[in-house]
Amino acid sequence: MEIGLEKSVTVRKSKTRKDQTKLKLYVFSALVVVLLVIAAFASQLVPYDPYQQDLGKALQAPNSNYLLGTDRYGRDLLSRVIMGAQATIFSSLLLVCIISVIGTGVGLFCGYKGGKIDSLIMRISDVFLAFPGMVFAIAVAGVLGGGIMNAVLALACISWPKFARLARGQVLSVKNMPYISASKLSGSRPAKIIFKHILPNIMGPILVTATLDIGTMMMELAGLSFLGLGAMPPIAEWGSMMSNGRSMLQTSPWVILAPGGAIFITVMVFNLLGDTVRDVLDPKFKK
Amino acid sequence: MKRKGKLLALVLTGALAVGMLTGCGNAGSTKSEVEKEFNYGTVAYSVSNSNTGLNPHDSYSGWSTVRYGVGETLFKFNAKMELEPWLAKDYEQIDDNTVKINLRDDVKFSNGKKMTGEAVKACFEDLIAKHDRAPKDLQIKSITADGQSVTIVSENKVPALINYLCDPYGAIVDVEAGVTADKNVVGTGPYVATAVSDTEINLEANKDYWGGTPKVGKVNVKSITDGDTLTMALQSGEIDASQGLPYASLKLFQDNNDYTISSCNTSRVYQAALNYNSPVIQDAAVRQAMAMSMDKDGFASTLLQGNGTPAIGPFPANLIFGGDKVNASKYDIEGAKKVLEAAGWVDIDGDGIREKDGQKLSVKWLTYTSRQELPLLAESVQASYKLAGIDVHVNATDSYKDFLKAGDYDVFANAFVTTPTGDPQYYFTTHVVDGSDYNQGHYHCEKVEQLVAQLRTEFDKDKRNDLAVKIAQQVVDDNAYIYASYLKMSFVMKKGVTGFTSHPSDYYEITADLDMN
Repeated sequence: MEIGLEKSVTVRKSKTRKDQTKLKLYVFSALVVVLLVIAAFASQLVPYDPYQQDLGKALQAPNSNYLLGTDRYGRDLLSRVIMGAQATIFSSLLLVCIISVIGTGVGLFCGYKGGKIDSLIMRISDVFLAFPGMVFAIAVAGVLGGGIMNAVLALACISWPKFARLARGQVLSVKNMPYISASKLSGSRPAKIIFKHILPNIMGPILVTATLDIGTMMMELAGLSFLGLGAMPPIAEWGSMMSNGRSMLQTSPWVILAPGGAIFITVMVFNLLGDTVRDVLDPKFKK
Repeated sequence: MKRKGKLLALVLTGALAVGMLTGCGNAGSTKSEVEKEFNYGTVAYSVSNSNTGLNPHDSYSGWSTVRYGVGETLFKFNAKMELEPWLAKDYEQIDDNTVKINLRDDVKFSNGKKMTGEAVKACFEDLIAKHDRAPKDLQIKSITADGQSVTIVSENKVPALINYLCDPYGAIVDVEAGVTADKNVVGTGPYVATAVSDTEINLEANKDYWGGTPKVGKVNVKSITDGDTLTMALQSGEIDASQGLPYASLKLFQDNNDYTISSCNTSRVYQAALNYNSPVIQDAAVRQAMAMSMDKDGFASTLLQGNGTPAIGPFPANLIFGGDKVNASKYDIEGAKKVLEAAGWVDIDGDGIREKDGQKLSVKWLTYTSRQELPLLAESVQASYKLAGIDVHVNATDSYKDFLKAGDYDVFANAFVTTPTGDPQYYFTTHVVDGSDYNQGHYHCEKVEQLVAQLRTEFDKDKRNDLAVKIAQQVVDDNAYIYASYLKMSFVMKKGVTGFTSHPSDYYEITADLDMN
């Protein structure tokens, strides 16, 4: 009797946890959708022209007209933060897309093919992984010159090996499975085996890593912009906005707090979504 | 017996407490010169400013030699930028090409050696053999020394020779003592460098200084190129004074009883050189519109927060040939639009940027970030030029020299001290004539060439001033340069610091008058 009760309590707890995780997934997905909608329709949502300077209104503290205040050029900070979402979020998504696609492609190829070419590419990825990432990105961005696209390329150069190693490891664990052998025996070509049988089975961890990486990449892109190697003026981008406002932290703190808060919230939302996706894709959760 | 013991313990405890308090409480005591140590943070000493080290015969390092009290020149400028003797007593112009300078008899180098005519001769000979700008400025043919005087004969007439000798490259150092591996020299100033690096100079008072004993025993000059770090270093007490604080931080120290500020207007001008090699800049209407679209008042009053004065020409108003002696276009966006329309630049596709013959009116604005004002100017013109229909691509990079070399710019904005020698010739010969070192716009004008040639040989002060105004006006009329603002320089220091005063020349900082109370 007692054992039965314990079982029913455990099942109920597990169900409650599953429900909570699902709820979190919906909430964080909704928040991400909200952020993406804000970024996509930024130019329609801004209350003022984010690039229009009015030196007569410079450095106004938050008030009813300018909810987040104005910067030293008299530009509305709320408008710039909204507009900055476009540059910051989309460039981060683009970066994660690039590194996950390239890294996964390389990992799939190396894991499936094996041999000398695998060793060679993995040693190259070891070289990239051995470098301090941000330092290398600064060097690459310095060579390529300023601009948000160059910053994306610089970070892409250093970030793909993580996905390559992850995908390769996953491929190695599934490529000797019976269903792959069966596919080979039935005469499937390697491309079909990779894309139809291996890739769908290794997508879970890659998806989780990619989602968790969005926040990290956003921070790194903002870091490059903060150092003057990302977005060029007058583009509204959160990292460069923080850089422009840092000398005013003690005198006009809203100039740096507005974009800083935007980065904090956005990175947190993407990280929480990544965590939740990981929980949802966890085999224990499915059971 | 017990009572005695208690009494003794009490007395001893009291004595200990008094002793401790006396040891801690030095507020009322006065420090001797040797004990006083002055820590000075500055953004102006850095590799990117080409002034590291103390060898005046190397690039702009002479600025550091003079700024930090290691070296002195034969003559100097007062607060009105008028010439005054320093290591020299006086001079006489023998003829158009010959000047005889009489030296003070009481000056010693910091190694105890007397400063004689021979030592000065050797120093100048080393200068013209090694320095990049000095030979062109001074045009020295020969130098002869006789006791405490030197006679300089020039190749050509050099009316501003004495002014040029006030340039920090003219600091007198003992060349026999040489230059150490860490770029240290032996000068005549109130301080002697004990250690020199690219980020810090440690100085000690020169006990045998001819101008009196310095009041502060040690001075440490620290290069702090990040404005926020500099601000916090001053707030935390790590440094006693600073130069080059961000304007946003300056107001933290204004109306604050714990700090004092010494400010003065300088001849450091923020200017934009328009590249005549660029096809779009060759259009006079574009240059005119660019000059009319720069909001100089807004830049000086708002972005520089009042720490600048809107500029008209290259020279500020405190100079007799500067200020409103020259006329320039006023800020007028509507006027700029008309000028461009008349020249055929029209916005056909409605994107706000004008086109002509299928080409967008777009300019590449090259500048650097080590002067905090320049990126602000770039972003300010980016917005105001857009109102006139001109697109601006800003390239703010500290590797700007590569872009200059490649010619990859339409405009180069920089900061430059136009009258470090109190004379206009220096600016013109370095900026507006063929082959001049900083003519980044490749500007050429026959009239300007002729006027500068006259200026080079004119001794009469009034005529020189007239020529300076004429040349500046022609440069402004051609819109070869657009002058945005002059810098107001500020030193911020702890309340007890005295004798540390900003100077319009921008290169007199640490002197024997420096004191800490």
